[in-house]
Amino acid sequence: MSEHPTTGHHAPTGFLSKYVFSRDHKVIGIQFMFSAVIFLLLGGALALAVRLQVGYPEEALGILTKAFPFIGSRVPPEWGGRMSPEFYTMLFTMHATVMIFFVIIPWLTGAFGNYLIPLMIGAGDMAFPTLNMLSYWLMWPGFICIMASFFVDGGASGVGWTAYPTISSAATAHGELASPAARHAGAGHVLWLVSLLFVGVSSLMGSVNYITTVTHCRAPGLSLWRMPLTVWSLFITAILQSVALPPLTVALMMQLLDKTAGTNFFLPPGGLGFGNWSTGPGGGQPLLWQHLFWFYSHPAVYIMILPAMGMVSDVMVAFCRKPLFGYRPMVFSMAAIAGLGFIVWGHHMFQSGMDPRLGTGFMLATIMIALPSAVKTFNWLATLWGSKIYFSAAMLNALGFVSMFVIGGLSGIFMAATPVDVVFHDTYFIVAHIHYVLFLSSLFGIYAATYYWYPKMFGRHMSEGLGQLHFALTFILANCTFYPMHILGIGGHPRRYYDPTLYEFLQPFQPLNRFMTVSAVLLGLSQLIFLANFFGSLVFGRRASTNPWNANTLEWEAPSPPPHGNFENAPVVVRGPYEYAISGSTDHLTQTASGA
Amino acid sequence: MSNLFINTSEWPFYIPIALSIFAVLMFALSKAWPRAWSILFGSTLLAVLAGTMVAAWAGLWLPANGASFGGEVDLLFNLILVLTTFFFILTEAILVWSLWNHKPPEGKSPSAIHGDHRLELAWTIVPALLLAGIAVVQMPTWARMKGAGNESWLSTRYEVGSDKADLLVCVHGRQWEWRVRYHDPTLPMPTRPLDWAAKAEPTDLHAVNEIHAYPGAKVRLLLRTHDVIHSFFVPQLRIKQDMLPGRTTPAWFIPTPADSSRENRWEIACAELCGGNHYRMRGQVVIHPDKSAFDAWYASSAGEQSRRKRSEKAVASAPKAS
Ligand code: HEM
Ligand SMILES: [Cu+2]
Ligand SMILES: [Cu+2]
Repeated sequence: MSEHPTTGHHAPTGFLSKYVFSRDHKVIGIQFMFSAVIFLLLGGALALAVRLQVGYPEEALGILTKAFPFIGSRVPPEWGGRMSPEFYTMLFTMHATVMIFFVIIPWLTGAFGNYLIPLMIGAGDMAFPTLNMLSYWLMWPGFICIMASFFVDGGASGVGWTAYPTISSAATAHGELASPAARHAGAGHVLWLVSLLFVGVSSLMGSVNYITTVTHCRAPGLSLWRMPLTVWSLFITAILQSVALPPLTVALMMQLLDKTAGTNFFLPPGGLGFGNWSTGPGGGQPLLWQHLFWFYSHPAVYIMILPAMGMVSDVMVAFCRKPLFGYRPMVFSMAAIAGLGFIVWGHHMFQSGMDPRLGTGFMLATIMIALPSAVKTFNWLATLWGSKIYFSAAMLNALGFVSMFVIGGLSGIFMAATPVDVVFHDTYFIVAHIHYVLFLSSLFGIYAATYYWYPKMFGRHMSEGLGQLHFALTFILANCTFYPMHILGIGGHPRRYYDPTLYEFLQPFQPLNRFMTVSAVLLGLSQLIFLANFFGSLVFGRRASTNPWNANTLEWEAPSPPPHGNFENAPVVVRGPYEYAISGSTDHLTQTASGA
Repeated sequence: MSNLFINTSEWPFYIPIALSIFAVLMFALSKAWPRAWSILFGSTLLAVLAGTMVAAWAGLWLPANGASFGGEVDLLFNLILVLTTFFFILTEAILVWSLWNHKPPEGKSPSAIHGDHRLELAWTIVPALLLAGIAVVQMPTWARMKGAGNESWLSTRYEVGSDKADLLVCVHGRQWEWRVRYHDPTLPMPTRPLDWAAKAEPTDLHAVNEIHAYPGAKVRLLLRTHDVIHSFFVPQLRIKQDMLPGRTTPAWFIPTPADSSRENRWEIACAELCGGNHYRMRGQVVIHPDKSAFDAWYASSAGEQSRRKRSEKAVASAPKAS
């Protein structure tokens, strides 16, 4: 649209305004991407420490100090040669926190959302560039708090990424941060709450911006029904975020006040007792947190998958040279997932003590949410059917996404069924499910999108060979690492256990635990291939042309990398994004090309 | 490598390494023969399927059921397993097949098809009916597990009233143990069980980390905690129920061990993160061979408890020797 407010502003010239405090959506997107890549390293290291402990409960600390001698001098003597169980709770809490709030969500919505939306709708920038810059720089207080939390007294939070009261919220007295309930629920957990508050506000600003940009800044001719699925998915995700984040913000504030200001939103009327000491009476409800938290966090799991679904669809058509099958059903099913996503949060609370009659309703809604996921899968398969597939690194990751999302979706049905969930809730079955949807789906989607749009972002290609090698190893090793968790869960292996060998019924599963640990270490090492490829290609990558994949969407009309303001000539759209395999001689028609 | 504390000669160690080599080989092969990717996907998915079957066959599966409603739960699990396995094979086979035929036959190009209404309708309606069916068949079992089904001995729907239970047991989770309290089974059941759960009576029997019962006993549980959330989980009883501070949460079971000629001991695990020693909240459910064995255990424990109380009283009232 011609009155678009930002095409007029001048390209910045100083280093700070160009690369640091930039208002250019591309720079901001790349900033989000780099921070996510760095946090991926941290989250991965934490995960390997968790896996070592579960696989080798007696030996984990010994292995770690052998492999990294510099740790040795820092191990507190009171641990007595083993990792302390409290430290272990911190490891898995921070692993999940880092991966969800600092890797997957910022990479999908922060990096790709920022970078791709304006380019794919033919706009010069976001609707509100300054708000956009603010949304990235609000991540930084979050980064600082979460990193600082590792170094405060008691260490970083260890109450699970779900931070259920009362273990998280119990407080000793005004002004005192140490928790009566757990060592890792003190100052570190307060920083955790503050950090997530910043990250949430950052996402909220981003989502308002994305919604406005999509509704107001589209190029002439780009009707809603001509938008590529990537844009649709990021648009729907932004709506989800803008509705789901306020309740989370409120909940975080409430817990923060309970911890620091002596309120008792989550403290029950009778108070709590720890040993001989008890809190005074309260007047709140621990269960309230779970409702507020999951009212956000269930939609949040779709925030972590919808953009991947959209981007995988676009990557797939570009490498199978065939129109997307069922464009409108794809959009409708994403909208259905988003809508239904708001009435299923209770499936995390079937065993919580919530009225079981509510459980019945939540079960029905949850099982039905598998339907749009199934429809999407069938449409992807129909797109592939009879196509001409190029096995590029991006395409392989997209195929990995489709094949693995099937497993993650199907395992969801078991846990949605209330009687079966009685066995599976809070066991490794859940851990398997979340890793099939987040690692083997969202992260494969992220990898696919990174290989695919890297040439546009940096003007150079990532190495195809390294990319394909990375995929082959990741695909096999991630299945080795996460599939056996289903078996553990069926056997009743609880999650978050420091040493399962204490239990007779779990001992037969211990070889599988070791198998998963060894696989996880190899999986972690394989990700170094990706990191080397990602950073190395910035310098050594093959130069990219404007449209290296012969794709149809608008971002491929801008130079690689696009200059400030994106397009030399404002694009005018004449057709939808999926015109492939037109006729014998015409392979594809871009969204702006005249003809046919 | 043995100085790394890891046993390198067992399958959990060398299979992942072998599989990594397989991945690298497939990658190398794909340069000359793109169908290697189809092999990579196909073999992984087959291994997943085969691995599940081997695990089930080797007994790494649902723990043996010992609860009256457990059979229904396992049936529902198996129903979902069959349906999901069918859709798993169907979708993955189509995917692997498309990768195998990664290009159209010589001289043909992919068709520019954008969709198909009838197909969309079919693959929306059929799964919708199946999924709704799955949801509906869960409901009676769920209602029953929560006390609203056809268990005539449970007095009120979803809540605790004066049940015709054989045993009334209050389990109090705390960091990090299970405090167990029995209402004397020879006395009439309390008319207000929630009040009893909140306040012990002198006739109650107290125990730690052990719950005793016998086959066929109707056991009513009242679950409480006074510090953080715990979750009472007994895999063989197909029970998992969180304990919430400030509330009494009901649960029930009737043990039906497969072999009741001997004593069965099933482990209790805590399933909600409750601090550093969460993993150490290990308890046991002890199912005596029959009611008389249980009664004998109860009488001797109760006797021992009152002897202990008497001697504590005696110590307390004895003149101080100072
Ligand atoms: C077919 C669709 C899906 C269904 C039916 C489904 C169902 C469920 C259910 C019932 C639970 C709760 C299990 C329990 O705690 O007992 C759960 C947990 C979870 N799901 Fe899904 N799910 C689906 C898709 C997804 C997707 C797409 C994602 C993310 C990308 C996701 C992420 C998660 C996470 C992170 C948890 C665990 C949270 C925790 O307790 O830490 N799910 N899912
Ligand atoms: Cu959910
Ligand atoms: Cu516990």
